[in-house]
Amino acid sequence: MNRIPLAAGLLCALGLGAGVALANADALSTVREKGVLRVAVYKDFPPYSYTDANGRMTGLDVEVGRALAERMGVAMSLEPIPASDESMEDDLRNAVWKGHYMGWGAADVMLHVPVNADFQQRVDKVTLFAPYYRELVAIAYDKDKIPDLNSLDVFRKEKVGVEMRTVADQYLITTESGAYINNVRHFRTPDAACAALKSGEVPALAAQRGQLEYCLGGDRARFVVTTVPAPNVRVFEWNVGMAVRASEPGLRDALGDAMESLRQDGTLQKIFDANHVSLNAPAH
Amino acid sequence: MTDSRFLKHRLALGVAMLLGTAAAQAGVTDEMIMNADKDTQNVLTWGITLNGQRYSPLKAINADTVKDLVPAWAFSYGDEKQRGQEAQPLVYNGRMFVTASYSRLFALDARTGQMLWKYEHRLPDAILPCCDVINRGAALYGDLVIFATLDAQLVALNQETGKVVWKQKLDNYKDGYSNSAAPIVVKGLVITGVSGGEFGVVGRVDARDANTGKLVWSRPVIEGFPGKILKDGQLVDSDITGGAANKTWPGDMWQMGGGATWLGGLYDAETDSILIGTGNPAPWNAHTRPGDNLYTASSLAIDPATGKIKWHYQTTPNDGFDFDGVNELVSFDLHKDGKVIKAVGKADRNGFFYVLDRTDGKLLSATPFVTKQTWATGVDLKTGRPIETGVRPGDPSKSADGKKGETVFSAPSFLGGKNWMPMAYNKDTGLFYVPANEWGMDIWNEPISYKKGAAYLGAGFTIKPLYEDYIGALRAIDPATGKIVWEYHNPAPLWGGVLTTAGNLVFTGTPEGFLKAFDAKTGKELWKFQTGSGVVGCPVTWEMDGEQYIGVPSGWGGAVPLWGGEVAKRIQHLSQGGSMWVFKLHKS
Repeated sequence: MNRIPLAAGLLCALGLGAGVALANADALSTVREKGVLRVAVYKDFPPYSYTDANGRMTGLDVEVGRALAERMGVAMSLEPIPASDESMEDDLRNAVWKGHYMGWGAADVMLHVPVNADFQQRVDKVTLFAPYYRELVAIAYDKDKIPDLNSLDVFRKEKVGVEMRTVADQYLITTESGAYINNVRHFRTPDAACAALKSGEVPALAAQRGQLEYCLGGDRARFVVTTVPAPNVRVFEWNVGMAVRASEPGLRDALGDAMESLRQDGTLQKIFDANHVSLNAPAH
Repeated sequence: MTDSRFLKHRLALGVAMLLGTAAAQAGVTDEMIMNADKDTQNVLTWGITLNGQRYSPLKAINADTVKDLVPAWAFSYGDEKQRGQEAQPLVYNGRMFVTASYSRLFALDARTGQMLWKYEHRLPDAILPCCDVINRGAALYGDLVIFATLDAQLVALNQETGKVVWKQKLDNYKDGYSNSAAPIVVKGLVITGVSGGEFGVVGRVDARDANTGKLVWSRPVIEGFPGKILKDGQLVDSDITGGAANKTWPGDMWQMGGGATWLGGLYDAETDSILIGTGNPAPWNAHTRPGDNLYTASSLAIDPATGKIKWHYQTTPNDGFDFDGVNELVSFDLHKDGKVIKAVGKADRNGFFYVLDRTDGKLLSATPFVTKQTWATGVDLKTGRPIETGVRPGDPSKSADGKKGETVFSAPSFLGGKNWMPMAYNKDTGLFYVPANEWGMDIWNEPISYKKGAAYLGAGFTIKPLYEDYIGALRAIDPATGKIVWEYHNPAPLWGGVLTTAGNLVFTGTPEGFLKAFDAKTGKELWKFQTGSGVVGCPVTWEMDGEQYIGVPSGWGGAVPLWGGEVAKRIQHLSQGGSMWVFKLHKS
C-alpha cells in the first residue's frame, strides 16, 4: 500500500506530472539514470532534420528533440537514421524497436512519425503518440506565371515539380488517370526541386507544406502556397508525432507530458517560427 | 648460322623466355577464362564458364560413386556476421577465393581449408541493401581477385596477400546504390551491373580495365540515357540507349526508370556478346508509366568492345508485378529438327522459360516452368509479347478514399518463379536444371501508407505458398520442347545455385541445410549431406592431386527470411551459419 505514495513522491521529485505509469518504467529509468535521451530523426530531411553547412545536424525535429530532453532534465543524443527504401514500418523497426543489422538505431524515441489509428494497428511493436503538428500536401506557385491555381487542370499545360517518390509525386502522376504525367518534372532531392521553382524552371512545386515553406523562407512576394485544389485530397493530411517501443508506457507518458508542456508555454511555436514552418494543430 | 648447336641454344633460350613471360604474368589470363570449360583444375569465373552453363566435364564423382562423397574440410567464416552465404567460390592454383556476407572475402588453401588471408571491407553504417548483406562472388584476373561491395565499390586484391591493389567507386551508396553480384572479366574488362532499391536507381552495365579499374565504357539500360566510352583518354558520350527518350515512357519517368542490373551478366564468345538481364521498372505502380518501359525486365546482348546494345528481348513489358528480368542468360547449342541453333536459355522471374536465338534475340519458345501463372496464358511467338490475362494489381490512386483496394491474387509472387539462384545446363543430357519456387501473392492497394514520415500511396502484399508440402522445385527442362523431364520437391524455397557434371550429376543446396546430388537423367536423389545451416550458395567442382572435389558455402539468409507472410512459417526454424564445405570421395 505504501508503494504508491513513494513512487508518486519520487516522480514529483523528478519534476514529472501524474500521468507517468507506475509499472515497468525501464526505458524511462535508464534515460534518467544515464541522463541521456536517444532521439532518432531522419537524415537529409530539411527543414525537419538535416546537416547544416558546418556538418552539424539541425532542423525543426532536432530542436523539438532537444527541447523534449531539456524538459525531462536530460541531454539529447541524436541518432540520425537513413529513410528505408520501402516503408515507414522499416524505419520504425530500425529506429525504435529492433535496430538495424548494421548496428545503428534502436533509439529511445523517434520523431516525425505519423500518428494515425490505422497505421498504429500495423505497427504493434511501437506506440505512436503526442502529435505535435499536422502536415499536408500543398502546392507553391509563381503568381506571375500562374494567375490562379483553382484547379489541377492548370497542369495539363504548365509544368509542376515534385521530389521523386513522394506523395505529391504519386498523386500527380496517378490522378485523373495520368492526365498530368507529361508535365510532372521529377527531382531527386527537395533542394533541387526548390531551386527549380526559384529559378523559374518550373512555375509550381508540390510537396509537404513544411518543405515548401522552408524552400521559400520569407520570400513570399512572388510565390503563393496553397492546398491542393482538388476534391478527395483530405487523406493527404496527417498528424506528425513520435514513437517509442510499445513496452515503454512510462517513457511514452513522460515524453507526452514534456511535449504538452512545450506546446503550452509557447516553446513549440517558437521552434516552428524559427524554421519558417506553420504550426498547424494536430487533428483529433 | 645453321649450326645445330646454335639452333638448340636459341630454342632453349626461347623456351626460357616463354617460361619467364609466363612466370611474370603468373596469373589468370583472358585465354584461360575463355577456355575455362577445359580447365578442370580451376574454377576461374562466375558461372563456372563465361556462358554460365555451370557444367564440369569431371566424372570421378558420378552417379555410381557419389555415395562415397565425404567431407574433406570445412571452414567457418567466424564472427557474428552469420547471414546469407550466396557466393560461388573460385579456385585457382590450389587457392580458393570465396566471398561472404558483409562484403568479406576469404582466401583458403584449397587442399586443407586453412585460411591464407581475409579481407573485411569497412562498410559505412548507412548502407541499406534491400535484400540481406550477401555477396555472390569474385572474378580473377592476372594476380588479382576482384569483387563488389555493399557500399557499391569494386575492390581488387592481390591473390597472394589480400592487399588492396585498386578500388573504384561504382556508385554512391548514399543514393541507394549497392552491389552484391559477381563481376566477370571479358577480354581484360571487368563487367559489372548495379544494384539498388527504388530510390531512382537507373540500371547500367560498366566495363573497367581489369588491371587498373579505370572505366572504359558505361551503358545505361534505360531508353534516353547516353552511354559513355573512353576515347583518347577521355570519357565521352556514346550513342543514346534506345535511340531517344520517351519512345516507351511518358513524361520524364524514364529518368528514374529502374532496370537495375543487379545480378550481373554472362558472356557468349561465339557471338561476342555480354548477355545480361535488367530489373523491374520504377515506380512499381505500372499505371504511372504507360508504355513498354524499355529496357526494363529485358534480356540484352551488348558488344564488349563498345557497350552498344546489339539486341534486346523484353520478357515483361510495362511490368506491374515486380518481375525483374535479371535472370542469367545461359548460352547453349539447341539441337532441334536436326539443326544446331545458337541459343540462350532464361528462366524468368515471371515463370516462363525462354529460349532465344542468341545471334539476334528472336524468341524461339517460351514455356511455363512453374505450375501457376495468373498474369499471362502464354507468349505469342510471332510478336514475342506475353498474352496477358489482365489480372494486374489495381491503381492505388483509385483507393485514395481511405479504403483498402481490391485484393488480387497473383502468381508467381514478386520473388519469382525463379529468383537470383543460377540454373545449370548439361550438354550430355541436353537438359537445364532450374531451381524454381511455387508461390503467389495477395497484392492490394493501401489507401495511405507512410514513407519517411509522410503519407504515401503504397501497396500491400502477402506471399503465399501454393502447396502444403513444398515451395521449392528443382526442375529438369528440355529446352527443345519445354517439357519438364523430372522434378524434385523441397519443403522450403530453393535459394541456391546448381552445378551439373559429366558424372551424370546435379548438385544443389537446400535451406534445410543439405547439399544434395541427383541423377541428372532421372532426378533420383543419390546423396545428401547436412552442412549445419541453409545452403543458398553455388556449388563448384575441381580436380586437385588426381582427386575431384566439390565445394559449397553454407549459411542461411538472403531475401526469403526478410519477407513474412505464410512463407515465414516454413522457414522460421532454420538456423544461420557461415562456412565453406569441401567434399571428396572416401578412399578405403
